[in-house]
Amino acid sequence: MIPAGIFALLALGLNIQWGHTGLFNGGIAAFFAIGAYTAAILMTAGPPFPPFYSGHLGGYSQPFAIAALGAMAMAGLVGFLIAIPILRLRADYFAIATLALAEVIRTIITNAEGLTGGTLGVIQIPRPFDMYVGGDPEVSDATVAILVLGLIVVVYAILEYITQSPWGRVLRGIREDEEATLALGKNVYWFRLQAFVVGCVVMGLAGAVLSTFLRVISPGQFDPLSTFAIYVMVILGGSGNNRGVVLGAFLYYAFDWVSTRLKDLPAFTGVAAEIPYLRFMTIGVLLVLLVLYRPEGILRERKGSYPPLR
Amino acid sequence: MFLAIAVVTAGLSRVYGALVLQFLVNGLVVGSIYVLGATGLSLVFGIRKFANFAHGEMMTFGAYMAYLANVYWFLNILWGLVFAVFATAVLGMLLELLVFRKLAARGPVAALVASIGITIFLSNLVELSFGTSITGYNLRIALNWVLISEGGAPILTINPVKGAATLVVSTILIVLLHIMLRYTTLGRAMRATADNMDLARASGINVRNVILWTWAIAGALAAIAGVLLGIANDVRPALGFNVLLFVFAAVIIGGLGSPYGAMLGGFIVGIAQELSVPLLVWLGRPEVASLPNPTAYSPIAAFLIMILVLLLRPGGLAHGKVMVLRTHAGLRLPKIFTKGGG
Repeated sequence: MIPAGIFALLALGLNIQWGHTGLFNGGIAAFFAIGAYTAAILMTAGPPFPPFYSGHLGGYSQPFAIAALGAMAMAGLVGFLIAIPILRLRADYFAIATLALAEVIRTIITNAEGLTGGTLGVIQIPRPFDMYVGGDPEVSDATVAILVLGLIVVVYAILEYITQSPWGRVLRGIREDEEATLALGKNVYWFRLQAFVVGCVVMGLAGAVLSTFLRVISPGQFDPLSTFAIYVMVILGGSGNNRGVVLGAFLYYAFDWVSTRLKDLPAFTGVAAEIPYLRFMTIGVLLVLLVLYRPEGILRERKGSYPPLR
Repeated sequence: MFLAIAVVTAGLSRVYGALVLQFLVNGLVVGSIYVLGATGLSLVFGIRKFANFAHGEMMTFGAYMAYLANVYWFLNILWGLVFAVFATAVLGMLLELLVFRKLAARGPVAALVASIGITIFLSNLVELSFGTSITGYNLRIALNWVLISEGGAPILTINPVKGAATLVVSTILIVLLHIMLRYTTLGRAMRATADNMDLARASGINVRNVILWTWAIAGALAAIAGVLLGIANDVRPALGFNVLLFVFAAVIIGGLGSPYGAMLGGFIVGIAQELSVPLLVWLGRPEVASLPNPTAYSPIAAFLIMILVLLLRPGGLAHGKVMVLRTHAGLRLPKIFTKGGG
């Protein structure tokens, strides 16, 4: 359930960029990674490390709340700096530029050993409530699950509030017709920048949750495929509908969970090794079919009381 | 731009001597592979107006089709190349028929998202069919040719199979593509369709057929690029996706939709990537910046140039000369490209 919750946070963050504003962010994995690494660096206690591990920047031993705020601030700041130059680009150029910048950030994370621990990543990341509930892994997981659910509720409420506000209407206006919105006197560039940064902040928060949940993070977790998976969730659930994208994230995780357990069934023992590939092939076909036949997803975007911008 | 490269090269060769020539040659070889990938991608963009993320996977598919013929069917790699070209051309046409034709009216982003779905599907199909291990073609390894040597120590070398053959194949293909685009009826019809689809349709071009042919050519070029990459490095499922961003960088530097710009961009990306290596090694020295793993950062050079071009010249270096070279009066088309034929 906890991975599903992290997916849901990412999907909510992407929904404000892609679902509401129409910004194709190809670098979700990068903002997720920045959040995860910032939180990990702030939370870890530093040496002693196991002998194979050469260490990383850290030793600040901050509580999760501070680390999460730091992760959100760092992801937002990087998003802001990246967006300033490239936000003026057309949608497809923007997609490629963000994907390229995500690769740059992944290269830095993989190779800047002093900062991030290199390919080994960051280890010994603490969990926020372990000192109160003891070391029982199931109880510990339960506390993280409650934390994730609480964060989803808070983030959902905030995003729902701001996207139903006049601000959110401007974003949808930009998505539907940029020039008309510009003609109405809205600073399209500035609104886009705000939406992009808000989305990146939410992704940074998801990264902080990931690092405290897994206790260990490494660069391999942030490949471009994880970016594309979030798009599948958002498009499946319903772009532009916050409830829909959370549903999409949980459905994606449910599909993941069921398909990884299929190999234990006697009927599937012969193809157990092929199941992971077949699963992703299904996801690929599903994405194409969704785009072709149901682009609005499962839950349609709700139209407000305002006249639709057409 | 070539002047800039020459200046950078001259500056670097002052520091490193003739060694920099080696990096330049490596850059030309890598760049020529990017050129093949980038021109195909650019042709599709010119006509369908969306960024096809599945192009990297088409390269992987081509590389593995040649692998199928070469390793499973014990054929010569040249026959593998021919088989790969046909298989990937058919794949390109199938993608157009099954997916992208239906999305033509829906704008660039719907098609882009669909191409991501195809990317996920194809990469896992390849891993399912051929496994995830890193392999290579069955071909004779030749010794490096020494082009320049100083006191018996080789200074400039090139491998006849991995380097020289790649350069020859891509040069021939670039020339053929140029002749095709400029002088053949199909090429003219392609340029007309890319320039203005409605006008092309109105003047009697069978736009549907022209688009199918464009996909076939893009697929063939992607397959050749994939096989050349497989020969130069190794054959692995991530082969295409690993270079997709460089190919995109090349296309963007040249200007999306401009095959000639993509050729220029491919060489710029390849050379920039290789020439950044000595610079990064210098940055890695303890007395300079003691950057750990300096050469791992060489991809960044290509992306930096791409972002710079996007900011300074968003239309790309070949902006304005999209695909039309010269207006041809009295363009006569054979039947298969006009309505009612083919």
